[in-house]
Amino acid sequence: MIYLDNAATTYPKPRAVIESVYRSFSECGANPGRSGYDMAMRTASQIYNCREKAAEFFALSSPENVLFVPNCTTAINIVLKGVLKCGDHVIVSDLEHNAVMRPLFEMMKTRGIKYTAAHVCENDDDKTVLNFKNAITPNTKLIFCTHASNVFGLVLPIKRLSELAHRNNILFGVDAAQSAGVLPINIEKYEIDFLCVPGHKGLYGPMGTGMLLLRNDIPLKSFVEGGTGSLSAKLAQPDFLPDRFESGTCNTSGIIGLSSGISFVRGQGVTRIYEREITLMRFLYRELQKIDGIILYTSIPKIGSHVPLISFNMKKMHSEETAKLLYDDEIAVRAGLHCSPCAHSSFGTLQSGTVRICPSIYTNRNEIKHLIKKIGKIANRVNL
Amino acid sequence: MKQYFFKVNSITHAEKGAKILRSQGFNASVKRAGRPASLEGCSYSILVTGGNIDNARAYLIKNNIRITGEFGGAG
Repeated sequence: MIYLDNAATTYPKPRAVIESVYRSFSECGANPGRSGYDMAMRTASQIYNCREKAAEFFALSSPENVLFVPNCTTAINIVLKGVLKCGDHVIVSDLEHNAVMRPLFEMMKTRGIKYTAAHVCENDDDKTVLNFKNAITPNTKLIFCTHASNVFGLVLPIKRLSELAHRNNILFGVDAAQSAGVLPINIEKYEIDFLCVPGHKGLYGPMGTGMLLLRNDIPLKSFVEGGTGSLSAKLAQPDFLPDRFESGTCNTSGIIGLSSGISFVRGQGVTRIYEREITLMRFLYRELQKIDGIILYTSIPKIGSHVPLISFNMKKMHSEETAKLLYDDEIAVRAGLHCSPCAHSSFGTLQSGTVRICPSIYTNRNEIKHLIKKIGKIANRVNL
Repeated sequence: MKQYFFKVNSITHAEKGAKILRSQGFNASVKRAGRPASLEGCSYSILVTGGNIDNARAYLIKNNIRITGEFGGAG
């Protein structure tokens, strides 16, 4: 199988990740932060190592401000539901995933919050920032946006949006689902108050891992209360990080795997991974341009303005049908809306969806060539 | 060598504190708190063996490690 669905989750995982997860069951099989015997302490130490590694990776000074959560969606929910109260206004982009839009829709109904979706202009950061600026109201409490569209690959100017937010005393949060491990992210330099990260995509960890990184200990409400292994005699949830947000047993094996994933990405180099994958996508884009009947929705992927993924369609064919035909030749891609109907509304693809191609560090040029050949064959058949 | 315990709020703070102290040349490790206060329940301690305890305390405070108790003989 040629796997090109890495925007959903990276596959395969590095051998070091697989081995560390396997070893964790025998070497770190105790519950961390609950007991004092050797295996429990060893497990806790491994969890802390991952916290420290993640903090360093995203240039965050305090490892305890790295919170482990089941996925990026949970991290986003913690932020949105912890920050926004009745009457508050939030600005998002028009490319957001349902991980952002569904909580907002729910809070609009139940809490009376309001949101504005600012239009993202491809290759024009000035206009994009202006659209966010024009959306600010006296009640705007938060600007929260994706770092990069999971459907069209557009990168948002998060540093400038952060500056805009803080100039107006507004909190700033980022959904780094498609960028963590692919684009360099410096929390302190970009002044990101909330960074929501999946562990299983660009960081090559296991599925079921995610993180919320807090630049400061902003008094967000706890999201799930319960046992933390700390201050157990008190019924009140601990108020300190990370315990305020980490009730219940954590995904120990997943976090240990994530730790190996972060080491892997650091070893390869974020910039090197990014450049390699963008080069592959530029090659694919140019070849797709040569095929009759192919619809492309963005300009050619460029360093700095796109993450390495391409959405396309074939004229007269639904995206799901194209994906099915590709899989007849064992090419695995994702079709449809990619859980981002708002992004499709902006690009006019809500009816057809798109076929999305996303490489990983393991994708090679021959695989992309094979994909191009297959798309060409399908196009010939359709165009006859 | 004398042993000294800094009790902290959680395993994460204990791990962080012990690493900071080790980076400063202290012999420090994480232990389950042997004497939990009845009103608090479970907690962890940073065990420091030898070294200047006042300096160790100062490093922990400087790095925002909330010390909730101390016991043992000063080295």
